[in-house]
This record gives sequence, C-alpha cells and structure tokens, in this order.
Amino acid sequence: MSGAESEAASSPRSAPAQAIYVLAAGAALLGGALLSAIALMSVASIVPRSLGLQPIQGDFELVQVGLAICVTLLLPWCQLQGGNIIVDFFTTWMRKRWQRRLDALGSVLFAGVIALVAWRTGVGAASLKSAGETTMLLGFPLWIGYAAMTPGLALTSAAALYSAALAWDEARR
Amino acid sequence: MNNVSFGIAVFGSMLTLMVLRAPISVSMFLPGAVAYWYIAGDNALLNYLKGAAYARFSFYDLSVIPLFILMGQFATHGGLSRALFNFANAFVGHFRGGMAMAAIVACALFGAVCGSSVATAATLAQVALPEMRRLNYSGRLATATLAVGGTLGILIPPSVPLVVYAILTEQNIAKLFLAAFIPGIIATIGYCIAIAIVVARRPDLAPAQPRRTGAERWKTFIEIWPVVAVFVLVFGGIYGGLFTPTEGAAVGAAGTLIAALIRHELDLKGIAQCFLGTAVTSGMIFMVFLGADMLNGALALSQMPAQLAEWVTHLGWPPLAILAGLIVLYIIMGFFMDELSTVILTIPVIFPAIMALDLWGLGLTDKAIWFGILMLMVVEIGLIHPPVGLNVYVINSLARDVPMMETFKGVIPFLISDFLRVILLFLFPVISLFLVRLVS
Repeated sequence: MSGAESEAASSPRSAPAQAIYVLAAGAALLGGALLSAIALMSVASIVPRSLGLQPIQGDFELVQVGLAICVTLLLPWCQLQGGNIIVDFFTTWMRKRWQRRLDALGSVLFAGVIALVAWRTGVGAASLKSAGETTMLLGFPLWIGYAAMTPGLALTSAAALYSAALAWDEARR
Repeated sequence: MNNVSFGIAVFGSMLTLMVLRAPISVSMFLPGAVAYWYIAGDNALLNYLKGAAYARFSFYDLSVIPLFILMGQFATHGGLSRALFNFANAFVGHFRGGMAMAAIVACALFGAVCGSSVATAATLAQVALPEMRRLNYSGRLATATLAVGGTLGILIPPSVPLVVYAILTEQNIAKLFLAAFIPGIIATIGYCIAIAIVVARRPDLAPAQPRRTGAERWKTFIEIWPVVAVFVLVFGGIYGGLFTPTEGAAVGAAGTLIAALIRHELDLKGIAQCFLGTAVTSGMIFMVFLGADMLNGALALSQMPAQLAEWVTHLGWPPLAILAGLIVLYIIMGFFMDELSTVILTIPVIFPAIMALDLWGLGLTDKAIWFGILMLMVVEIGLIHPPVGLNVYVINSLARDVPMMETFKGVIPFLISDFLRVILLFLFPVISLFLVRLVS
C-alpha cells in the first residue's frame, strides 16, 4: 500500500499542470486555515460555556458546514501527493511500465467518481436552494454549504486527471 | 440474484479493482454504486449521491479526525519530540538499552498528543536515531525500536483508527480512548521488556549511559510542559464533562499551536507544512469513508450484513473461536492493506456479527469497546511486519545505512510482545474495560 504517484509528485512542467499545482496547494492551505478557524471558534465557544456564560450560538452547525467545505479543499492536494492509497502488494512483480498504466487507469476512475459526486452535489445545491432549506439554529441556507463544496471537488477531479496523465507519461519513458 | 451471489459479486469486483491498483476509495465506491443502481434504480442512486458528500463531510463526530491530525502535525513540527526524548532518556537512559527504552517511552508520550502511527515514528526517529547511532547502538535495534514505538501513537489516545471505529459502530469515543489507555501502557512496558531481553543476550548492541542526577531530570521535566498541559487540558476536559471529543480535539489543536508558537518552534512556513500534511492524511480518510458509504449503502439495501451476522451465530461454532479466526483474518489483511482502510472496510460487515456472538458474557457496549481495542492492536501489528510494514518503510527512508531486512529482523522480539499482548487482552477483556467501569 502506498501512494500511486509518490515518485511522480515532482515539480510540474506544463502551464496547466502548474496551475493545478498552485490551485491545489492554495486550496489545502485555505482548508488548513479554515480547520484552524473551526478549532479556534470551538475554543471560543467552550470557554464561556465552561464559565456558565452564553456559548457561540449554533457552534455545532458552524463546525458542520465549515468541515464539509474544508474537506473538499483538502482533497486536491491529497490526490496530487498520492495520498489516496492503493494496494500495491499484488502488482510488485509487474514491470514498472505496467504498474504506471494501471495507476493511470485508477486515477481516471477516481477522477470520474469525484466528477460524478461534484455534479450531484451541485444538483443538490440547486434543489436545496429552491426548497429554501436552512440549518436549524442559525437559519443558514444549506445550499450555500453544498455549493461551496463543488469547486474543491471539481479541482480534485482535475488533479486526478493530471495524475493520470503523469503516470501515463512515465509508462512511456 | 440471491444475497450470497450478490455479496460475492460486490466484494469480488471490489477486490479486483484493489488488486489492479485502483485507489481503495474508488474500489469500494464503484461496485457499491453499481449494486445500488441494480437494486434501487438510477433515480435512487442519483438522489443518494446528491447528499452523500455533504452528509459524510459535514458529519459532526468526524471533525475530530482532521482536528486530531492537525494537532499531531503541530506537535510534530513544533519540536515537542526532542523535549520528550530528553525527558525519557534522563529517567531510563542509564539502563542497558536505556536509550532505546527512552525512545519507546517518548513515543508513548508523544502518542498522547498525536493520533497517528507513522507521524509518531517519523518525528521521534529524527531525534532519537542520530542519538542512538552516536552512542554506537546497533542499527537494527535502533530502527526497529522506532518503527515499533510509532504504533504507540495510535494505541495511546488520541487515536485516529479508534475514532474511525467509534464512528462506524456508533460507540462513545471518550470511552474507547479510556479503554485503550491500560493496553497502551502494557504495550510500552512490553516493548521495554523486549529491549531488555535483547540487550541482555547481546550487550554489545546497546552501550550504557551514565545515570542522571535529580536536578538534571527535573530540568528535562520542565521542558515537556506543553505536552503535559495539552494532554491534561484535552482529556481532563473530555472526562470532566466540559466538552465533546470534537471540542477536545479543537482545544488540542489550538493548544499545540500556541505551545509551538510560544517556544518559537513554528513559523509561517512551518504552519503551511502542517496544513499540507493534514490535507494528505485527512483527504485520504474522508475519501475512503465516501467510498465505504456507497458500498455500505448498497449492502444495507441487500441486507447482507444482517444475514451474515445471523449465519455466523447459527454456525454453532464456539464464539471465541470465531473471534480468534477474525483476528487471524485481520493479521492477514495487515499484509497488504493499511490500518484505516482495513477498519473502514471490514467493520460495517463484521461488527453486527461480533455483536451477535456471546463473548465472555459481555454486554453490548462492553463487547463493542473490547473488540475495538483488540482490533486496534491487531491492525497496528500490520504496520511493522513484512511485506507492507509502513512504519518500517518510513524509518528506513530516514536511516538509509540500515538495510530494511535488518529492521524487519529487529522487529521480531517486539512482534512477540505484540502477540502476547493480544492474547492477554483476548483472554482478559477487563484489561480494557477496567478504566471505563471505574469512571462510569
């Protein structure tokens, strides 16, 4: 088990590849910052509550919406770094070239799955918007949470396609 | 299609995808999606997918995972490992093999603020490996000690695999952490005994150091205040009923960050490294969850886990023998899969069967907690034995001069102590349940 692209995660060459890299790293940093903000918000809510004062209203809901967006921002970088683990135990006997071809195929499948999820989440946002559904305590419109997930998911799909191209490239060399 | 052939088709295609190097998340997602579509139709599948990602990624209890990972990252990049190692070395360093024991103890202490095995092994290795080599420790003993010590990162709470287990089985995270505590301490002692036995037979492997004075020891203790403070704050808060485990993780992440900033161990670049590291581990876990959700959604429609549980209970085999068989199965899975994927993949299918078995006459909650700890210990073994042994690979990349086979040989005495501990816990569930009962 290891990252499929662990050896391939070197610096990108072409301009679109570089764009994906920068966007993915930026998204991960933003996601990390958001996660830290969630942590600090929780602390800011716990302290007054422990002292018997009023905690932050709807802090649970903020954690939930924030986390959902945060995770989608972390995914593209995870994919580029080969974080989406594979089982390589059964294919170690294969030539490197064939391993890379399979990795390319796996990344294409991953890109397809994420694209499907991104599309359906977008559709979900649209139907929630027309239904006007909100979170219970804060009345936060739920569709915004759904909609904010789609850019990260779409970027993850693009990152996976890039990994596939990289692996395919390596198989030819 | 009946349930048996349905299950075989789903699991068969999943295993095929896995063997062919598809990401584990995808290997679960695709057969699950096809099966869902087959049973419930395309409209139902498309509808399910509309909310699947949000439902999983916004799941409140799950937020504890990236927060604990972030906390571990801050602790790793915040230079806490050196203080812990110096502290442990001041207290046990004068024994024969003492520095290796110190590395084990430091791993256990670091495990109290870090829930990941690989991170614990890697961060302590950076501190302890050069020191052990400087003292002319055998390379095999040094690398094996750190690879094994890393597993204490997930045995001692907080523990990411245990959180995953708690969420999948809807058990109380705080109780599971409590249950892991004594087994974690037993593991630490067991590893130290293993070192003592090895160096008693081969004293040349590990030269001794002079004993430290009380003042020297006290000085090293002062240095580990951030770890002590964060640990007391997080677990004191959780068990004192002040906050939920998620809030505890948030406090822990904030606490380790502040401690690192006060000690000037972390600049902006370091914080960025922590974020990127968090992205890789968290992203992988959430993707595997998303894939497993799809698979389990389909399996639940087919009612297969419930039928499997019924089938197992009507086998008429001794329940403890079935459990022992499952443990062997987990050890085999450890040969080729990582611990988190193993837990996420197997628990939804196996857990109902475990709950249906009569094991030592335990109640449902007790049984769930005990099995969780038992399984945690078994999957953790997979991190140090060949061929995968992720911890060994990580340590090997940090100590290029020690051949990997040497490290795997060095791991053997520790593996024996692991197996003895699993047998002990298997025979005496009270080892894990004692603290839980004491507190509640």
